[in-house]
Amino acid sequence: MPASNIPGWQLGYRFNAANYANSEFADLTGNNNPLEVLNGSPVFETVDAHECVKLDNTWNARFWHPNVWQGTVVLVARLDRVSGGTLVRYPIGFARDGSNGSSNRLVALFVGNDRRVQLTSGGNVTAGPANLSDSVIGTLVLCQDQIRQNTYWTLDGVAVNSGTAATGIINGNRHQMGSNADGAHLGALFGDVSNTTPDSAVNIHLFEMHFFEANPIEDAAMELQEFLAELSGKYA
Amino acid sequence: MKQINLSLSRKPQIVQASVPLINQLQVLAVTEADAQVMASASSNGATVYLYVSLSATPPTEADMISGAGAEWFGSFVMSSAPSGMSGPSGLAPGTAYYLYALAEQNGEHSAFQSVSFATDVPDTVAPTLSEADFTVNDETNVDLAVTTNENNGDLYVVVTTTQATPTAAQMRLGQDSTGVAAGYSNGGQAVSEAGVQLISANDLTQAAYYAYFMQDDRMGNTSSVLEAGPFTPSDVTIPIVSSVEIVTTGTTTALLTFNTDTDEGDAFFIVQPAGEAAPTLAQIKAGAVGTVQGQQAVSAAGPQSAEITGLSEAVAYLAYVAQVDAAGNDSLVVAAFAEAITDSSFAQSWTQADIGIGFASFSTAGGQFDAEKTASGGFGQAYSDAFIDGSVSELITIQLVFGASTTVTSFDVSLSFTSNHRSTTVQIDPSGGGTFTAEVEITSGGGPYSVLLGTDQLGIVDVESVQRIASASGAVVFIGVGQSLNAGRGGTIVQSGGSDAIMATGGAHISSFNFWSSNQEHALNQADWASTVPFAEGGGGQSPLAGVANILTDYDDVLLHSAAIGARTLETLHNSYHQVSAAVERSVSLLKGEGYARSDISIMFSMKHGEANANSQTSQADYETLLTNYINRCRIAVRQALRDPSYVAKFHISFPIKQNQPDADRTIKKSILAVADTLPNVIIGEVYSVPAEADRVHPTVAGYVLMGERAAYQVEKNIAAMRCTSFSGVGTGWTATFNKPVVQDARYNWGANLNAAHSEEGLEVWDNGASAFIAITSLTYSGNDIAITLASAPIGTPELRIASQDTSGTLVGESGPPGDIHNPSHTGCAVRSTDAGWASPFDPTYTHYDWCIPQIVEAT
Repeated sequence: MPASNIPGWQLGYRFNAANYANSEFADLTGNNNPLEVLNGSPVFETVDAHECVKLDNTWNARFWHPNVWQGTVVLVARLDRVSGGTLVRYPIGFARDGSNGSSNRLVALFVGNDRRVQLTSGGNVTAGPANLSDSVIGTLVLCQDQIRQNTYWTLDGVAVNSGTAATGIINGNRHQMGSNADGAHLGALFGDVSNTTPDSAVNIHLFEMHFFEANPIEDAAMELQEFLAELSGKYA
Repeated sequence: MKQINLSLSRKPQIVQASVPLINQLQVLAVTEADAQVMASASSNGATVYLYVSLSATPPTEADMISGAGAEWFGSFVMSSAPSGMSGPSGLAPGTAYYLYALAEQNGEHSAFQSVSFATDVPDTVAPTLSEADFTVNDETNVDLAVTTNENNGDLYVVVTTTQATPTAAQMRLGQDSTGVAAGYSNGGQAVSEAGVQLISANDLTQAAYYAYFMQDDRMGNTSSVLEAGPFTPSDVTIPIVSSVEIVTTGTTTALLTFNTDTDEGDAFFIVQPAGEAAPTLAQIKAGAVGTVQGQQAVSAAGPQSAEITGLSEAVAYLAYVAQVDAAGNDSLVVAAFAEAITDSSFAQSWTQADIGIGFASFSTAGGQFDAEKTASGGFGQAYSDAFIDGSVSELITIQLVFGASTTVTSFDVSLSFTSNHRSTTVQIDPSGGGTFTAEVEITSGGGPYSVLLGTDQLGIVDVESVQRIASASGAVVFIGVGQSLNAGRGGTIVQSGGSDAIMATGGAHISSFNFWSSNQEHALNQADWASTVPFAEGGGGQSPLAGVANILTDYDDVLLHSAAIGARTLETLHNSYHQVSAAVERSVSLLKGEGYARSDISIMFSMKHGEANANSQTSQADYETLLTNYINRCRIAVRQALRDPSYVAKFHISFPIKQNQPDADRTIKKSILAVADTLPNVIIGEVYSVPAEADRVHPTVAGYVLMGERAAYQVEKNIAAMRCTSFSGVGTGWTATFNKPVVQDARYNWGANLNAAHSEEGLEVWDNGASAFIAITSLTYSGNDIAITLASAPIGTPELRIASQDTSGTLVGESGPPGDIHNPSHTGCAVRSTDAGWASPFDPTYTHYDWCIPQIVEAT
C-alpha cells in the first residue's frame, strides 16, 4: 500500500540515487520539501540488495521538519555495530542543531547490545527507544502525540509501546517537534555537522524516512501495520 | 466375520497320570462356511480329535476317532500346550453346529468336551460405490477417488476415452466397453477399509477421459459401475509471479521488475494511480484499466522487466502483474507500489498572457505537456493538474489556488468552481494547436490573488475595487508574531474588535496566559485553548488585533491570536517556534469544532520585528536567513494544520519603528525588504504614520489599533507597498522614481530638516563620497517621480534615504505641539501614493494612506 493511504503523510524520503538529484533527495509526497545536501555528497551503497545511504560525517543535509506540532516518523534503517567501545549518541534522522544534547532530534544510541533509536521533542520528551536488531534492515515508528500528551513507538505497528501520559498543565512544547531556525540536520554522526571525521565503529544505513501528522500508531493502526509489513517485506 | 471366544473353565480333576485331558477348546472366529478352533490337551503326545456335528448329542468314541457322521472332522497330536489346528471348513452358512473334542493317549481317552457355534448368514448385498472424483495433476497423471462402503474385495478402475460404461467382466479384464484394453486399468486393488479409495492413473495422454469404478466383494457380490469425468490430463500448475517492484526512473517513467517461475505464456501488467480500485485479473489481462497496460511473452523463468512510460509526475502508482502460462493457468495478481515523483518544472512554462480587473489568462507554449499530470498531495488531500498534449477532449484536472483556498475540480474543456468565498471561472482554450490558455475570472471577492498550478505560481489576478472585503465567508485565523508591537499596549481598552471576532478562551495574547509579564517563551498546552469566546482585549491593553477585527468583518469568524514576545531576537523566536505551531494548530481545531472544514479556513500572519536583532547588530545576510526560515516555518505549521501542502499563508511584515541605532536599523530594513521581494505572498508595510508615543518606539494605544487595521487591510488585499524603485541623476539634479503616482502628504512636514536642510518629507540624500548629507533645496512631485534639487553635487555615489530619521536624537521643533510642522507624534515619510485612502473604522477621522516605506536607494 502506498504511504499516502495512511492519513497525514507529510514527508517521505527514499535514500537511493534514483531519488537524488541536484544535491536534493526528492520529497516523495509531492509537497516539495526536499532533503537538501549542504556539505559533501551522500554515499550510496547497496546493503542487503537494497540501495541506501551510509551516514557518515563526510556529508550532511537539511530539511524542514513537518511535524511542527506533533507527529510520527517511520524509519527504515540498518544499524551495525562494527566494533566495540563506548558509543553514545549518533544523530541518524535529524537533529535540531547538530548538538548531541539538543532537543528535536532523532538519534541512534548504541548501548550494550542495543541499537536504539529514539525521538526527542522540543520539550525534551523522548519517544522510545525502539531497538533494531543488529545488522539487519528494520522498520520502526516513533511518535510524539500532543493530543494524548504521550509518546509511542513500535517496530511493526502491532506491539506498541508508550510512555507515561503527562498530567496537569504541561508546557506546550512538551511534544512539539520541529527543527531549529536552520532546519533539521541529517547525517552528523558525531553530533556536529562540521565534524567530517569518518567513524569506523558503527555503520548506519538509511533506506527510507517518512513523516506523518499526529499519531497513526493509534489512529490509523491497520493502515500503518500494513504499511510496515510491506516495508519489511520489501526490505527482507 | 465375527469372533467367538469361548473358554472352558473347570476345576482341576484328579485323574490317573496316563489319562489325557482336554484343557482348552475354543472357536475363535466364524464366517459363513469356516471357523477357527483352538484346542489343547493336557500332555504332549496326546492325539486330539475334533468333531463337528449338527447334533447336540456327542458322538461315540469310535465315531469321534474315525470321524464317522461328522460334518467336519480333524485331529492333531499335541506337541506343546496349548496347541491347535486349522478349523472346520465347508460348513453350511447360517447353521448351528457343535464342536466336540476328545484326547487319546496310550489307549486312554479323555472325557468329551464340546462348544456350540453358528456360521454366519451369507452376504448377498452388492457393495456400493459413491463420490467418484478426479484431480488432474499434469499432462499424464490423474488422481482418481471413489468411496466404498465395504472393506473387502477388490476395486477395479479403468480409464477410457469413450463415455460408455464397460461391464464388470470387462473391467476385471481392464477393458473398455468395446472389449479393448482401456487407457488405464488398475487390475483390481484390494479394499481393506471402507471409505475413500485412491487410484493414481498414469501414462495418459492429453485427451478427454472417463473413469469407471467397480468393486467385487469377498462374497462375489459386484457393485454397479460408477463413472467420473470427463477430464483431460494437462498442466494445471499455477504460475507464480513474485518480487514485483516498480521503481521510478524519471518524472513519467518507471521500471517494472518481477520474477516468474515458468518460462512460458505471457505476463500482463497495468499501472494505475494508487488509491484506485484494485483491478481484477480479467481487467489486467484485457488491459481494460490503468494508466499504462502491457503484455509481454515470458521466454525464460526468472527476472522479467518492463519499461513503463506515460506516467504522470507527482503521482503515486500501483503496478499489478499477473502471468498466464501456456496451458492457460492464471497466476495470482501481485501488486507493487511506486512512489510519486515531483517535477515542478511543468508549470513554469506558463506565462501570464493578460491581466485585468478580475480577469487573467495564462498560456502555455505549444505542446508543453505530453502526459496527464496528476498528483496525490500530502496531508490526505489530493490534488491534480493534468494536461493532454494536442487535445483537451480528454479529462483535464487543474488546481487553482487563490490565496487562501483550494478546490479540486475535474473538468472537461471548461471548469466552474466556487472556491470558498471567491467564485471563479476557468476555461481551457484548445485553440492554437496545443497552446492552452487558462482564463481566470473572479466574480466576487478581493484580490490580487496568486494563481497557482500545483505549487507553482502562474501569476496573479486582481479585482481591486473595494476597500474592504466584499463577500467574504468562512473563517480566518490571524496571528501576530514578532515583538511587542504585536502585543497589547497600555492599560486602557479603547475598542473591541468586530462582532465576528473570536479568540481562544483564555485570551488572544500569550500575555493573557501570564506570559507577557516575564516574556516567557513557552506556550501552554492545547488544553488551555478548549474553546473560543468573543474577542476582547484583556487587561494587557490594546493590540493590533483589535484593528484586525475591524477590517476582516466580512468573514463569518475571525480567530485572533498573538504569539509575539517582546524584545526577542529571531533566534529566540525560532526556539519558541512551537508557540506559532500551537496557535495555528489549536486555532484550526477550534474552528473545525465550530463546523468549519479546513478548506474554509484562511490563515494569515502579521509580523512586527527587527528592533531586537538591530540591537544585537545582526548582519543583513543573517537576518535574511533567519527571517526567511521563520516565515517558512510558520507556513509549514499552517500547511500541517490545514492538511494542505500547497497552502502559502499570507505574511505581512512591518518595518521597525525604532531607529535609535540608524545603521543597524537600516540593515534590518534592507533585510526585510529583500525577503519580502524574494518570498511569495509577503506583503510589506510600515508603521510610521500612526500616532506614536514620545519614545518613538511604540505607537500610542490607539496607534496599535490603527496598525492592526493597516496590516489586515494590506495583507488581505495584497497591497503592494509604496516604494522608490530608482534614484538617478547628475550634478544637483536627481530623480526618485516610485512604483505608484506620488504625492506629498501635506499633513506631515519635518520642516527645517532632520539631518540636512529641506528634508521636509523625510527624504535625505547621503553623499558616500563626502560621508555627509547634502541639503535638498527643492522637491517637485510629478507622476511617479520626485525631482530632487541638491544644494551641491555629490562627490561620490549618493543614496536616497527615505524615512530613516534617527529617532534617538532631538528633532527640530519637537517641542512644539502635536500637529506642528514637524508633527512630532509621527515618524516616517510624508510621501504617499495618490490613492484616496480609506477611513479607519476605529477612528473615522483618521485616514489610512499608502505611505512610502523606509528605504535606502543607492543611485544608479
